[in-house]
Amino acid sequence: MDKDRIIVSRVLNGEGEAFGEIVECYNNRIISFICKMGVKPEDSQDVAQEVFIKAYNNLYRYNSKWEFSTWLFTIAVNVVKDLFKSQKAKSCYITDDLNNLSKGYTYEESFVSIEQKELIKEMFQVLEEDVKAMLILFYYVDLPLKEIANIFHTKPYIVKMKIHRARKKLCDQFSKRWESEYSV
Amino acid sequence: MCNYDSEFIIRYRDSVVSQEEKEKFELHLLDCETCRRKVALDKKLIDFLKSENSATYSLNKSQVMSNIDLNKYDSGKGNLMAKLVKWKSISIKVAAVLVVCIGGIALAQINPVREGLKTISLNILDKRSRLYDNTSEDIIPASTPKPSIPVISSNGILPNYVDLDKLPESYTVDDAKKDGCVVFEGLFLTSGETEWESFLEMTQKGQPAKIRLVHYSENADFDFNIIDLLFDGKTYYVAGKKGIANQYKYINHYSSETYDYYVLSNIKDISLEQLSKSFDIINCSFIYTNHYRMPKIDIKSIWPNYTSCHELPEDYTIEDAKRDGCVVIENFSFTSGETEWEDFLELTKKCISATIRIVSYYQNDTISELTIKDLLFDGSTYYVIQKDGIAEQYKYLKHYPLENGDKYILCDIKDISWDEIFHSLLSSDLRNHIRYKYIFSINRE
Repeated sequence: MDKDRIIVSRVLNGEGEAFGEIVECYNNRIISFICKMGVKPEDSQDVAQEVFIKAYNNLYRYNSKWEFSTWLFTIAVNVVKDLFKSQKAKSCYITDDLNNLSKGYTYEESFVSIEQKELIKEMFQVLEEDVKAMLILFYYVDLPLKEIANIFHTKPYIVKMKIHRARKKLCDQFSKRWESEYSV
Repeated sequence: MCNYDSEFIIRYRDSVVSQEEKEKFELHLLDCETCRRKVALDKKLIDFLKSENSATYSLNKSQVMSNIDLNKYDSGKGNLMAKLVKWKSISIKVAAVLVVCIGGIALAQINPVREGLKTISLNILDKRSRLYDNTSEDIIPASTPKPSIPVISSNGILPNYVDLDKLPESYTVDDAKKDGCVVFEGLFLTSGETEWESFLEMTQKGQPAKIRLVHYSENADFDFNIIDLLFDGKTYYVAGKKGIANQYKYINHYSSETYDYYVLSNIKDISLEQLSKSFDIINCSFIYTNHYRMPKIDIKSIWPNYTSCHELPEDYTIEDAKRDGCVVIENFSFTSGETEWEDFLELTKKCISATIRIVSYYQNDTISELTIKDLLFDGSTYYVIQKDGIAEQYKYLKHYPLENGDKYILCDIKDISWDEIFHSLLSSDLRNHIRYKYIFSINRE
């Protein structure tokens, strides 16, 4: 993203206000990422703010050979992990727009099928934090495997394998749970 | 006993199994509920991951800006830090152009929903909806080579054919009708029946053909989906703006007195019963569904002053609806017409014909949605009017007083519990599905 690099260079050249453009551009994606990771929605603004402040204060460390988004999401991953560490019990509230899960229903109608979606979200939260982050970065943020591997200091094939295993694990767990609840 | 494990299911979902394995597995899916459930779960998980956040909580730029030291990188101390970073020199001109661009984007992002709330007008019924490409879900992952779109001439079906990605943003349902597309509005086929028949005729003869299908629905997302269906003499291709989404060997047709289904799949002569068990997960595509061939009813005989919601003035507001005696529900609470609703219920209990318009409005920080339902009771049957004169029919109006509120639905089964309806929603087995029409909900504190 050359645009991002240009903005960063402007900030580093003394134009602090330009950082607002970074905030505007990434604000929604960062909040979404934080919420999907399992942070309470009401805390998401504070956490996102911390991510941007950290990014600003460390901007001089940013290496332009990385995509700026990769660098920013590395900070987001670390801030969320630190938050979970500091909380004795993890918060597991996910605010996610349910519309995409319920195509064909109106928003109001989609309320009836919330329970099933809640189950998916709840089970998603059982995964390790790094794996959750990898899945969100790959499917939602759309980062390439190589960039995700950079964030976690690992190899792309390891990320690919972890994503694959996580999906497999969820499939198995969901199946068991369904069988016990509906005694099929 | 099922021989497929979750490992295989994930590979199947990623389309990294051979064509032979895929076809074999899809046959297996028809009989294995466990596998169907697993496939459906993985699909829902990926949908969840890909979904946009409702952004109920969004960060204000000024919150961040007021908490950072804007002079941190000013010319004194900043230059040194800046030198630590390797930058390509960028001309001020480029930067200036960029600022203008970003400024433009920022302006364009002023939340249209909030703007719209001021009037809460009915102009959401405007069919000038954005083009929406619904093929992303089916797109074959990058790991497998993507087939190219076969070049097929329009053969008279689509004389004004324009590539999907070249259609203007302002393309409307009416334009699609003029262009000879097969158009569905809600559950109804509203244009292109002849074109569809020509297409089928050509494919039956093994001649290459193509047709464009347009689905429009007036629900929360104002879905306006356009896909092209191509046949090269052997294979059917479903193509969206992003290219070929999927290919299939067969087109199967199912019909009864009330519906018509055309389904693409790789399984020949699959029965509707088998298909219904797993329609949402098997590799198939419902390309033409005319769900209910509804008999036309004479609305005016029951409701002499009936005006279709499509004919209401563009600036019709919630306040107008209240004045007109509609039932108005805002964020799951009655704000008007509660008495009218009770009167309606009272009349229907006595088998006296009655009519009512229900306007539901839902709003949060990012979504505002208005739905209008016209409900008609002729003394024995309930009708929800879809288009002028065409209506969905149901036998019973059911009221479910649940712990968190009341729900009203129409259905054809007299003694059906809310749990049964709810279970039908969870089930991936189409045979469990119950035909019903949701009317509205009222939440209790």
